[in-house]
Amino acid sequence: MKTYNRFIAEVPPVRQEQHIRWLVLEEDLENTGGWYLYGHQDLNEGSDFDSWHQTRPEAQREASTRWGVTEDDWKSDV
Amino acid sequence: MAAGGVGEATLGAGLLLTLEPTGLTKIGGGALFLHGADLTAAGLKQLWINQSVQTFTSQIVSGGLITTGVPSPYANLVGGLTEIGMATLPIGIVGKAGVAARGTKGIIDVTSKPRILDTALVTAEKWLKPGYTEIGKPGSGVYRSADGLRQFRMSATDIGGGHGKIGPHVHFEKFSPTGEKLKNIHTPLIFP
Repeated sequence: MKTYNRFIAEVPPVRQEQHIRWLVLEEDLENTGGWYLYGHQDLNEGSDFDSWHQTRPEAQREASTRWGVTEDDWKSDV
Repeated sequence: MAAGGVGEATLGAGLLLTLEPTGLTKIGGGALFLHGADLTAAGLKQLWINQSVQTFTSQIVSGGLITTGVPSPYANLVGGLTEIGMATLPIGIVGKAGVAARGTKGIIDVTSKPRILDTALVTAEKWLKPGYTEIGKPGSGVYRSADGLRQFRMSATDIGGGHGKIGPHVHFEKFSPTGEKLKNIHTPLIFP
């Protein structure tokens, strides 16, 4: 069974836009070899947007500049 | 009439110089400018000869109607109404451009109207322009333009609808020269 990395972070309230409260960072080893960044209003529902990044630092940089999510905010979800 | 025409032409010229992505301000601005010039000329002539003067716009419309057999009073009325329409139509066009530009300004993640896959692929070719390459793993379905500023994405999970509320979809994305994401258009797919 393949293992993959998945992390969740809460967007700081002052940086929440379009009602996006949660970000999910997910490795896509099997298909693209990159990382998905998902934006969720509610973690029990499908994502409201997704962006794709070649590397994890690139995805985290977008999470940081756009949403104010720092490296320490990410919690492993595996 | 002349003062109104100068104002309309000035507004039209201003819109022609406005930076806006849809190009609608150019159409509206051009129409306003030309109609403003027509109104100004008719107004100045009216001042000079001290008689009522029709604009070229009005003359062309009413003249055309008279030629086709429409009685002159009705034709002139339609010409006059066209005059009003000519002034308001460009304003409507410009208004639409404003709404289109304002609608998604500053919003990076947007959802477009649904498309069938074939149409999306044709649009993707145009979006990327020649020289694009696939990035990520071979077969990733992520394509980047030669200048690195545009991306089309149709990964297995995008097309399969494995994530997101919109189901199967593809992405048209735009970046700044420094790599900052400017637009991420989610295009839902429909399968007829």
